Amino acid sequence: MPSTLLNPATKVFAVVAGLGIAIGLGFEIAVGESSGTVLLVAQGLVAAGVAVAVAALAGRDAAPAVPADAPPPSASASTPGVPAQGSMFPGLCAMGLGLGAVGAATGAVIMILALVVTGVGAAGWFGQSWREHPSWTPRVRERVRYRLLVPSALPFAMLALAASIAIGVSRILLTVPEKAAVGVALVLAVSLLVAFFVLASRPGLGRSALTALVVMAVLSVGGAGIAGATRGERRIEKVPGGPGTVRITARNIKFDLTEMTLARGEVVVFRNRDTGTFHNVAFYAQTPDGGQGRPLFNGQPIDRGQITYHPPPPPAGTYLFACDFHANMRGTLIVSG
Amino acid sequence: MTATTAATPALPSGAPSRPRNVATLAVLILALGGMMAFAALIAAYRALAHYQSLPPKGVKLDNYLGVMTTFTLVLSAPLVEWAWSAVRRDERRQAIAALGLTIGMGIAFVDLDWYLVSRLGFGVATPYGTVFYAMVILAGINAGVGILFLLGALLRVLGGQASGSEPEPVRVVGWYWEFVVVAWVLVALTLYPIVK
Amino acid sequence: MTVTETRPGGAGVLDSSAPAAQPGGVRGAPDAGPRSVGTADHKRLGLVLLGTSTLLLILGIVMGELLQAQLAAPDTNVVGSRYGELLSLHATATAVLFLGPFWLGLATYILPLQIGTARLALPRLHAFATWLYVVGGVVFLASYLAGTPSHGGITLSQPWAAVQGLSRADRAATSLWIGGLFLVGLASVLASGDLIVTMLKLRAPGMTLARVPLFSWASFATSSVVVLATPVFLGGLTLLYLDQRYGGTFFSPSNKAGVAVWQHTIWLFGRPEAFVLLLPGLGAAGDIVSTHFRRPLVDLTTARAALIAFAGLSFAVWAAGPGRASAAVVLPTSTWLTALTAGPVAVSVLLWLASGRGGPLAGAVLLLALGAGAAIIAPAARVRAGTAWSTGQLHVVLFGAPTLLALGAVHHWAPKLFGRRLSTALGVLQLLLVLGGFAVVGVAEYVLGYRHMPWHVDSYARHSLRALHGLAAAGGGMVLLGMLLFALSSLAAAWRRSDAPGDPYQGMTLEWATTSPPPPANFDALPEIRSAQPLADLRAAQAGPAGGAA
Repeated sequence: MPSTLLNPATKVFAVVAGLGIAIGLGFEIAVGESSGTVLLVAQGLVAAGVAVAVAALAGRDAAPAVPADAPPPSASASTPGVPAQGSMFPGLCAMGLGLGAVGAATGAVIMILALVVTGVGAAGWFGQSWREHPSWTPRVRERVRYRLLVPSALPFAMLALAASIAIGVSRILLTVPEKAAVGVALVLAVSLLVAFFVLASRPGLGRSALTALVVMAVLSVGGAGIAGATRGERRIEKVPGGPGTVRITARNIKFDLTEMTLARGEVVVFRNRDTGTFHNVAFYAQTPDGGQGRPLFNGQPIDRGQITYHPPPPPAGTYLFACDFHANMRGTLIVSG
Repeated sequence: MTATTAATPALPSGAPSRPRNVATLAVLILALGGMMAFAALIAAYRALAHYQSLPPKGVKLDNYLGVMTTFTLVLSAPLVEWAWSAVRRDERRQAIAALGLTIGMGIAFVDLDWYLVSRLGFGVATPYGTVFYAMVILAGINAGVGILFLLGALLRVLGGQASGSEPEPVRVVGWYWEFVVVAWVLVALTLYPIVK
Repeated sequence: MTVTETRPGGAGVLDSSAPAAQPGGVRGAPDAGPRSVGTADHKRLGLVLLGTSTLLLILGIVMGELLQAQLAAPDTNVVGSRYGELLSLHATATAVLFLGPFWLGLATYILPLQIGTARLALPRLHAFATWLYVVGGVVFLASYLAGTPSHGGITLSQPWAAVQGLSRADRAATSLWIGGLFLVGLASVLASGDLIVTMLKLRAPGMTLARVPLFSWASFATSSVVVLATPVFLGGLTLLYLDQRYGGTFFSPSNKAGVAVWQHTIWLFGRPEAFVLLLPGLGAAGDIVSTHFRRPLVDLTTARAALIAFAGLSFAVWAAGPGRASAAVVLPTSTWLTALTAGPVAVSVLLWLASGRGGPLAGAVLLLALGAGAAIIAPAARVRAGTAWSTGQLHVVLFGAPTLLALGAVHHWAPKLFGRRLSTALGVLQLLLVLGGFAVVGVAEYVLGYRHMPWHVDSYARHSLRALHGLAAAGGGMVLLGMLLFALSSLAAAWRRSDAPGDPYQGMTLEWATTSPPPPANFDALPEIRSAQPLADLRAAQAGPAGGAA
């Protein structure tokens, strides 16, 4: 009778483990290329781990003993268990990761959307499996709703509502011209006053009407806010362009300057036109052979837009400036007294 | 027919009992497979070290940060085992405390990981930088996913869905967290001259 | 004596004439349409994988035909400067997005039936993986719409070129390309892990691992290879993404480490992956032979050992060394370790021949023999990898043979998949078209290779090669026609009402112990399992006393 101590799957993985480690060591001796050795030995060790897991958890693989005088086999000896219950949330999570792949190629907005979709999918997935647990009775559901969900979710919902309105309105006000912004703010304030006056004077207003009102308000503010955010802010502060400012732009993984002259106390206005790709401006000391020495200042990386750096003034001399992300983006920095 | 069936008790009959440890075995196999992704990055580092001395000239890694980050995560390993042991013994409060502490350690690790990345004086754009950032970022994402799983386990314990009679949710998450810890330790041993 | 109890209105275990899942018949296949979005039923998930991968294959073959049109004559210009892009799409859609996921889909459908369970071990994780594959495929295709993602060679064999000096659109396209492949890779790891656990934990009582049918064993071995090898590729893709996104130099030709690492990551994934595409086919073939000849393979243990040895040797191919791995894929005789893979295949084929024979199997064996013959002749004829000979070898051995086995497997399990048997006449036609097509393509490309026609070029000067290119295009057209016919006949079967009996072949394994298509729980009741052929045991038990009484 074959041994039932280790099931065949364990033996297969154990053999793979032994072979992986042996071939890895042989590879090291014959080829001497350490990365290959690391991979082969790792594969052996992982297979060994799987073998142990399978031996411990897959259970015995013994067939029940059938006596010689046993009756013929039965056509319906057992049932196969219950089928799986479906869920739409795994699909939603997959869509979220797909959006993540798109976001990784394009930019932060889609990445945030991907995180939200994946988060909603994961939370829904967990919530569904939670509700399917036998302990989830109507009584427990009511208790959880009143003791946990309402007290914790309500403040979050209110915070999210307030934040989305504030952010939406601010996007609108930052997009429209300066004078129009005052008008928009006044119209919004008056509309709010009127709306709340109507609400307060008509206590009989139904729940669905209230919900519809809130949804419409959030959608219109949110929609206008997204449109404003897409269009971009108007120029609010006049970017200093006179003495005391050095302007440098990154475009197509290149700086527009190969030499930068900076006086003590001057600020650096850095503009990144490679939307979606991180760049920064960093200052390095120069080694005697002209190479990159110790860092003096590492500006905050941005993947779009503009940022103003206030670098601590190094002593007068010649240095290097570079982007920390791209080896080819570098130039000479001359600091004057 | 009934009589003959009764005479052969060794034969299988009836509905199959619900198999145990299904999710545990799955998470172990997938986590061990996941180790191969880290092995690929470690192999890339070894390949680089074959042609140049690492860390390269001009890069001085802060060993203190590497050691503290590793300590933080290694300390969380016994905590998650404590949670598992407490759940098995139906010590609900202990399990909640242990899981809460593990989550705290996990968040501390992600924070340290983030801090470590933000303090690096070199960018992605060198071969060394590419491998370094890949390893550290992947370990951070791995820990982030682990923290979400730990939160799920904590909710299960709070809601009475993980207990002495049903401890698997915590065991599954525990194994995943051990994978997070082992993966980081291997990354740290590769990147930081801790042993030296 | 009532050993064949049946549910009222349902198909009995041995009731081979039972009409369908429900009286009057239902729509053929379990729905793979919009309602599948929320499903965790392995049957629907399997059909989603089968359908999506077949669509991608047809797209890949159409691209291949466009490429052949470009080579119709020395001065033809059909696709212009987009030749490299189309070649990349053709190679990846057929090799990475079709065969692997196709076998995964078939295993998702058939494995739970063969081991006697109602579900997968982690059905929602499997659903996640299924949709991740679909989404990954869409992202991958979208990369070709966003720009040109193939600067790094058809399968990113020159990653440096994919990283440096690209326009913004091409950089975004390359990122999408990497992202799409990452998702597909992740999906295959997750689904494979689930299949391993399903086989280890959810077998019916009495179904020991030694009694599990060959196709399930082959799926188990394939899944194990995927779980061990694919994450390495994911690690490599992460490095590549960081490099191309942030202007890195890891994969610069000046960094020798980068070249070695990319060879490892792409080949460690690519080699086992390319070889294991045949592995589920070997398992399926074993089951097909034993089912249709109504006797078990002469030596089941050896057959199983051959499958596992083949899976193990697929890694050994890589261990031949990174420098030689790229040649190993098209020139299996280039290293003795690579040549060893022929051993388990030969053992499997001998076992089939000893136990019976069959159409698609014979076709696959013919293709494998053609490839092996070409590989043996090649060194004598001084043919090098990197000519059209290599393309022929890829088409015949690594793609043709497994594709033919995949079609045979779908025809075999069609009653379970669609509730109907596929038309035999159309099946023969598909066999002739696909087998003939691959043979014609292969022979034309072998001869082109012997005449030193380089591969992956969009033009040539010698008019004497025109006829051979025309022949290759005709072969490709035959394969395309065969696959379209296959897709249409499968769709028609899925659409029409099911009429197949539960056990049309007098099968011996558990998938034939239920209706066609199976009900949601797969079985009303499972028979007692005392051997690897539980249905044969039942039949013998039925025949015994009845025969005695007669």
